[in-house]
Formats: sequence, structure tokens, C-alpha cells
Amino acid sequence: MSETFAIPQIKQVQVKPAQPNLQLFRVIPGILLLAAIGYAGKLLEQNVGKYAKAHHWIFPNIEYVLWAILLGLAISNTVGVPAIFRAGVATYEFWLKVGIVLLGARFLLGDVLKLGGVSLALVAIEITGAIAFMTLLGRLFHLKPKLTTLLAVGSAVCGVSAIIATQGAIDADEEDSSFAIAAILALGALALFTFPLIGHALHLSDHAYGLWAGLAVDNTAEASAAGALYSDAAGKLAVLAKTTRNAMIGFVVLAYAIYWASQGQAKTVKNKAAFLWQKFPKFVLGFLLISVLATYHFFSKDQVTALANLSRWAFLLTFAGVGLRTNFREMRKQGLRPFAVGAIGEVVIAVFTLGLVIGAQNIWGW
Amino acid sequence: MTANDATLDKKSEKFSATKISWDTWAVLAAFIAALLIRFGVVKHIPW
Repeated sequence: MSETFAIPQIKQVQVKPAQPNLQLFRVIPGILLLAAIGYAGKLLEQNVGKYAKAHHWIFPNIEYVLWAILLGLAISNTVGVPAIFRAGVATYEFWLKVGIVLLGARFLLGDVLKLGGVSLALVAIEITGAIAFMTLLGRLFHLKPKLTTLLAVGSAVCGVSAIIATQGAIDADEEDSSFAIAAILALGALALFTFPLIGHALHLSDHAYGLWAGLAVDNTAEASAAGALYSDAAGKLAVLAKTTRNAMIGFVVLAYAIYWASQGQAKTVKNKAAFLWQKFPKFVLGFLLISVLATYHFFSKDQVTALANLSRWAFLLTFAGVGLRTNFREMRKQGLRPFAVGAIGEVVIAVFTLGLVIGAQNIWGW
Repeated sequence: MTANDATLDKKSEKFSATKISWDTWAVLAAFIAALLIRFGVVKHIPW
């Protein structure tokens, strides 16, 4: 598998991590590409519907989210993303986090605590169930124990970030983490298209669907996009549920680090508090802080609207990035085995969390 | 995400061990934008 994950493009163009404080000029072309694709998606949303109506065509109302993803997919899977744009395109996660922090202005603290309480309980059940099931599945398929750990963390908590954090903490092989990341991302891309269809077929409310997307889709960008594809309200809830899952990353990674250290196969964690802080996603704190400020009327109504609009612009760049980084040829190269293990796990987790959400919907009458 | 992106993320994680992480930069950028809006430097964001 190491051949499969060779990175010739990186070696050719010497792409380095694009920190926002450094290499500003390297990221500008890619950011402009994200903006252009996102804005084209917004224009298509506004104009295609009007054009179809004017010509009496029956055409579904496609939101900017889907247009941006489709345009990105079309470029990535036809001409590809030229080297000059790659560093900037890789900033899509930065825009995602900016968008989530700003989205906090639309949640008053009471909403966060109320919704967060329900989603926290569902998240705890989801994480426990997903880790237990993926561990069992890994043993059944005779996967390497550390690969099983990475797949379990990726499915239970938050996709790529969790896998990368866990890989460092348990001294897993790079190949194993690439394996797990490939499976999680391939399935995340599928979820983008299948979840809204299932949600509509089951007539799920925005609330129930948003929670489901936030609980079952593993990578934050895909979870936000899958929610937003359903409706604006579902998108908000998907972000809230996913953010709650993200907040658990430090605890889950710490537990695995301690377990593997006790097996003599990873470094001992000396300062647990520092470890938790290092792994904790800071944007969750930013989201909560903005929410507290909005609750205490630090922002006027017009300012909250402006912050919400800015959040939408940040998400626009993110969704364009989701399409641009998804390459079906690359996914095919990863082989069937990680996809099969991941797919079985993800389908079971999706059905399990759907059951949880429908149960909660019946109890709370969403 | 391709294997390239994943590798970039891993490199980024190592790189950011001594620098400010993506996460923190995102929070800082969002707060600067929020303060610019709060204190009227930016009055309106269209959508």
C-alpha cells in the first residue's frame, strides 16, 4: 500500500504546509480559485432556477453548496488541480473553522446548552458504539491493531484530524493512517450524495437530519456540507453536533495513547492536561466564546446578520475545496479492503445513529 | 481529500508543534473579523 500512497506531486512541486502567517503568496492563487468556484456556485443557484422558470423547464432548485461541490469535482476529476493552486486549496479547512467560529453568533448560549445537552448524550452513545463496533470489525477482518484503532477513532470522533492526532499519539505507521484516511474520506464523499436523499425519503425534520449528519458523517467539512445540502437549519445543527464530537477528540486520543503506552507500544503521556490542550480543537472554544458574546448582546441584530453572512462566505470557500480535493481516480487506487471495512462500519454507524435520532425525534417531538 | 492533502495535514501537524496551529489562526481571524464588525469598521456583509 505504500506505493499507493506515494506522493509524487508533493515531491515535484515541493508543497509545504501552508501556514496562514507564512507563505502568503503561495496560497493566494488557490484561495482565489476557491472563491471563484464558490461564487460561481452562488451565481448558478441564483440564475439557473430563474432561467429554467422563464423557459418553463422543470428543474430542481440546487443550492450553492451543491453547485460549488459539483464544480470542484468537475475540475478535480477532469483537468485536475494545477500545482500553483494546491497550497491555497489546502486552506479549505482553515475557512471551515473560521466559518464555524462565526456561526457561533447565530447560537445563543441557551440554544447551545439545550441542543448541546441532547447532542452530547447522542455523541457519547455514538462514540462508544462506533469504537466498539469498529474494534470488533477490525478483529473480524484481521486488520493490524493500530490500523483498527485509527479506523475506530476516525469513524467515532472526527475523521482526518482524529486519525492524524491518534497516529502521533500511538506511534502508528504512516501507511496505516493513510489507509484509514482514504477509507474515511471516500465514505464522506459518498455521504454527501446519499444522506440528503435518505433524509428526504424518510421525511426527516431539519433538526433530526442535521443531528444525524453531524453524528454519522466523519469529516467536519463533509458533515457541514451534508447538513447544508438539506437546509440552512439542518446545516446549523450538523455543525453543532459535529462540533460536539470534535470536542471529544482529546479525551479519546488520550485514552488510546494511555492504552498503547500500557502495552509498551507508544510513548508514555507525562502531562495529561497539556496533552488534552494540544489535541483539543481550539475552534470549538472560539465557537462557544462568540456564542456567549451574542447571548450577552455584544453584537446588534444587524451585526449578527453580518457575522452570519461572513460565515456563509467562509463556508462557500470550504465547499469549493471539498469538491476540488475529491479525486475519484485517487480513491480507486486505495483498493477495496480499507473501503470494505470502512463501508461496513460506516453503514452500521449511519443506521445506528439514524435510529438514535429518530428515537430522540419521537421523544422530543422535533 | 487526496493522499497529498493528508500528507500535508500530517506535515502541518508536525510543523505547527512550535508555531501557531491552523485552529488558532482560524479563531484569531474570526475574532478579528467579528471585532471589525462590532466596532463599525465593517458595517455590512452582503450575501
